[in-house]
Amino acid sequence: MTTSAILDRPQPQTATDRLARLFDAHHERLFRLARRLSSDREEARDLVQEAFLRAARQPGAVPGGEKPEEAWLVRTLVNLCRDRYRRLGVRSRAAVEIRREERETVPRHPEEAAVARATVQAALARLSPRRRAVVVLHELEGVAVREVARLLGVAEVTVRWHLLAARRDLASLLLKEDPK
Amino acid sequence: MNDDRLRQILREGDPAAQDTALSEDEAHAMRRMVLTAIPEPRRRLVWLPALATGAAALLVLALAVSHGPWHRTPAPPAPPVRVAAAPAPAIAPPPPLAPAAPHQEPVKSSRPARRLHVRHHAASMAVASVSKQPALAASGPAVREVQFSTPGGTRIIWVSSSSSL
Repeated sequence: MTTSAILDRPQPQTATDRLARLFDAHHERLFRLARRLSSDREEARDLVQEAFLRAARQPGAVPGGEKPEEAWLVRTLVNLCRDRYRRLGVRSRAAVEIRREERETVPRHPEEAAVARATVQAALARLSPRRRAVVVLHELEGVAVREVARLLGVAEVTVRWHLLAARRDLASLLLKEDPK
Repeated sequence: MNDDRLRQILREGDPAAQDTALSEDEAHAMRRMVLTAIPEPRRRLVWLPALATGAAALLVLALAVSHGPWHRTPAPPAPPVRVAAAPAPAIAPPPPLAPAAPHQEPVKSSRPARRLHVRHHAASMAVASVSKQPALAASGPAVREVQFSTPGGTRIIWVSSSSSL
């Protein structure tokens, strides 16, 4: 069932029905975003689950309507990433360094795509969660700047500033890997 | 490195290029967990003790305000001093009092007035602030007694005796 078909269904009455519809409509898109914002699949799954659990615990906090509830979920997800980034900052950054060292030992010719993914992953991991979310939403998901601002609840100029800074950071990080 | 090249690198290394979605089992398990995490309505009763405590506190406060000592009506002003005049005895009317009382015996007592009153004038207990003592005897000298009571409880008794005239 497509997302639009799920959203076109009549509005449910109970909190359980509403949450079920929310999950069915947004979990795939939210997982994709989480996967791009996190270091691995497990972390992404945890983030998505925690975001929906927050919606379950505070059903009144989730605004009505497709776009507002999507924005609420995205903001919650990014906030969860920020919390995790702060809590595990030192450890995760150290882990990124270790993974980077491991990646550098991987020969390039057998799995070029895997190397590219690891490179991008390592570069994205250097960004702060909000900046990373801006880059992922705009560069990887193709969301317009205005829409990114709406989803994250920030001003467009903030999004542009984050994009500019992220491109600069990513360029310097990836330039070492891709001198072309 | 320009923006297009950067975008190309990012898309080539997109972490979600292969992990596009949760598996069906993962999605079902997560959905079940999320739906069971909805707080039950019974959990709202957690607020009941706090609500009851608050209501009780408010009730006590309201009672204290409405029935507290500061809410009592002020004591009525002291009754005006009344002078009790003894009726003239039928047989032997007392001689009129001199304009300036020649012999007055003010007695100022700090003892409770009612006790004094009971001890000396049990017959006139009905009147609290006025004591009236008729002539002790028809043939004896006339005695007039004037009592003053102050709001503080002090009672002043003036006794005039015609015999001392």
